[in-house]
Amino acid sequence: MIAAKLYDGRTSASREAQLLMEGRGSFARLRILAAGTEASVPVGDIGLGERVGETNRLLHLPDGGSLEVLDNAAFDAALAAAELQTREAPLRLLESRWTYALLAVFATVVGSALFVRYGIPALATHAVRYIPQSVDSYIGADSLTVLDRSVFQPSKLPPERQAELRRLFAEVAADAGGEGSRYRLELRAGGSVGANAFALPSGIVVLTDQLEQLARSDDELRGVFAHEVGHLVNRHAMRLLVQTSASALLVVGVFGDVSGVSSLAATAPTVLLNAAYSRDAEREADAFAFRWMSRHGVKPDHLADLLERLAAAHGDTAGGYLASHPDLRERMQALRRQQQVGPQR
Amino acid sequence: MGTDGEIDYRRYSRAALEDALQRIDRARYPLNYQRLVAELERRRSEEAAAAASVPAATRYRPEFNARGEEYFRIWIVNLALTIVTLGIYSAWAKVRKLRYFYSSTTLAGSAFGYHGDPVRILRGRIIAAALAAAYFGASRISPIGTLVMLAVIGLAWPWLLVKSRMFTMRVTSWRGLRFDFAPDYAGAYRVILGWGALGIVSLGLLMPRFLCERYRFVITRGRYGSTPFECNPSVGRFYKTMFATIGLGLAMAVVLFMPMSLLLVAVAKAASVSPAVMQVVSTATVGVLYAVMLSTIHGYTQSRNLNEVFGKTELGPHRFVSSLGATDLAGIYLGNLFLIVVTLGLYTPWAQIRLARYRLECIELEVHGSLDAFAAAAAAPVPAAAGEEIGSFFDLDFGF
Repeated sequence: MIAAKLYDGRTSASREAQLLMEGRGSFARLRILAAGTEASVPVGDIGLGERVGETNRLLHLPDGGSLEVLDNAAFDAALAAAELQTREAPLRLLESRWTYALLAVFATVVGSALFVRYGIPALATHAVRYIPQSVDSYIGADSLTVLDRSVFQPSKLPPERQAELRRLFAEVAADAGGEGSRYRLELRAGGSVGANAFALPSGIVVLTDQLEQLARSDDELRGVFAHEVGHLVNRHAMRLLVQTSASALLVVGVFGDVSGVSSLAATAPTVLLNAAYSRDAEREADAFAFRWMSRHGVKPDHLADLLERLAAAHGDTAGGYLASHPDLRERMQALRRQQQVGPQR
Repeated sequence: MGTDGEIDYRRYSRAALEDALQRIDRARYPLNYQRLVAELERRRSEEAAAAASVPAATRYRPEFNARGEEYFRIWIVNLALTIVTLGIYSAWAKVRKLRYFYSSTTLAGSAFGYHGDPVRILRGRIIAAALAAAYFGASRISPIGTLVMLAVIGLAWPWLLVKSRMFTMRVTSWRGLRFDFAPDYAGAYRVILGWGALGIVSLGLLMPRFLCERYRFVITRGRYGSTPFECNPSVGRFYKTMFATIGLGLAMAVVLFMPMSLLLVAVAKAASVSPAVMQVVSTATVGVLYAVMLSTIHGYTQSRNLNEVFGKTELGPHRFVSSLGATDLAGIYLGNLFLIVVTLGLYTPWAQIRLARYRLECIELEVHGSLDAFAAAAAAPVPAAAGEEIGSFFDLDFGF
């Protein structure tokens, strides 16, 4: 006899009941004895509620009533004796042993690391192909206007020099394929931004006067242009957008149940991830620059030299896990290493 | 004036008897006085007997029998399966988790039941994820896109609230009877958008009223079987809590933030620490202070508001009593956060259980009569899970 509680489904009254399993397999029947009444129901007609941990199992009877099993060990044994398996049995086995729990910790850590490191970037690269290039130009469309209004001044370089820089840039852009003709160089006096160059998704590359002055040769600037065109060709802005959205979604979806104040803790991984993705993009742009330079007989050393001077000018080389750019030294080393190995293609 | 001993006090009301006792001239009407006292005595003993025969209310406290080590294994196995299946299993994981929490909760010897269908939850999650992706995309592309998405979500909020409550209540059972939520979309828009907008327009002055109305709406539309919940929290309490919270926030700013920032500046000057180290130290300090402040304020407002709401909630003849403590709750929030960070997330299952246990065991049901007498209602169909899932993806606050 298995102790249970019987609820009739019409009122909240609870009655003591005794259960008895009879027969086997598809012929198994459950006999229910409660306060003088007796019923026998085919087990196949009973909805066996899922049991989690050491909680009571609920059974849904065909007449709308239900049973809450109190002696669950006896009921589970009776199910096994009647050669009946519950759907959750494999899961219960996994949930019952510490060995499996440890394996699960391992699978969670490795699985999410792999997915985040390789899965999301691969998916993003794939997804970006389906987004028309014209959409890219909407990303940060007004950032140059904002910078012009707040920090930037028109370039103070002589007009001939400006024209020459545009010619150099066009040369690099021409190599970038069909879209290259759309790319445009904008020159600005950088103000507090200082020596810098960046690419906007709309196809505009901005170079500040300070960086032009920091460069000792045009080859160095060609390296910079090639790096920025590398960002544009690889559609890094759109890809980062997809990747950061996907990773934020993943963190919310998987760890989202951590409610309330604790969800603060879930934002940290997202920040680290986005920085890592951004560093990947920089490395990819460096690699593009390297290939371009090797094809055009420009030594990658030139870009490395400029980066070195940039690092000295900024007075920091702080890299690490929070930085949006890889450590400058690391990038220089990578560029020099590639030069020693020689162009691969 | 009549003769002494003429008055028949048996026809007097109780209040009239008391009144007469105050006014009577004992010396002049000794007989009347004697009868009056005798009648009052008789009435008093009658009342005492009546009070004794009314059965005293029984209090039931929910019991939460979940155990951390057990839930850890359930949690981690389901998390691993979620990741291995690229998130698809998350719907089944959610059901398994909620089943564990519901069936670990017993009231008067009977456990609660959770009957959510994972396939429908998965469908809801896919819709929610698509919406969230659109939102993230829009927010990265332009401020106008963000505003448009926020407006859409804001307009949908009351609808989502109703759908989410319908789903959650209708998949919950106790003693074989389902809970229910009677949809009232117009009411939801009036409460959430109406009072919410007034709360913002009045610069927060009407916010307590909004909170009060929202709790009242969410609870009074709820039913167990065919018995509706009643809830009449007092707005005054919410105002008191808001002003006390503002005071608490200011006090903490003065006591915690100002000395800490002064200390940081002093240390930086004295020890000539490198700016990089200084930045890390100050970020960490601000983070810790922020967590302390948020936990305290959240613990205080939650405990006060929920005590008021549950304390004024009735189900048929029975009523609820809530005794959440602000310090206890803040301590749990802060302790949980700290341990989750220190253990890199592995403490999460214990943290969830600790919070759930405290919140559940602080509520009591004062039963007048019998808990067996609730009647079932006609079965209400469980709606799509999209509302519930969108709500949890966007962290829309539905009040609990």
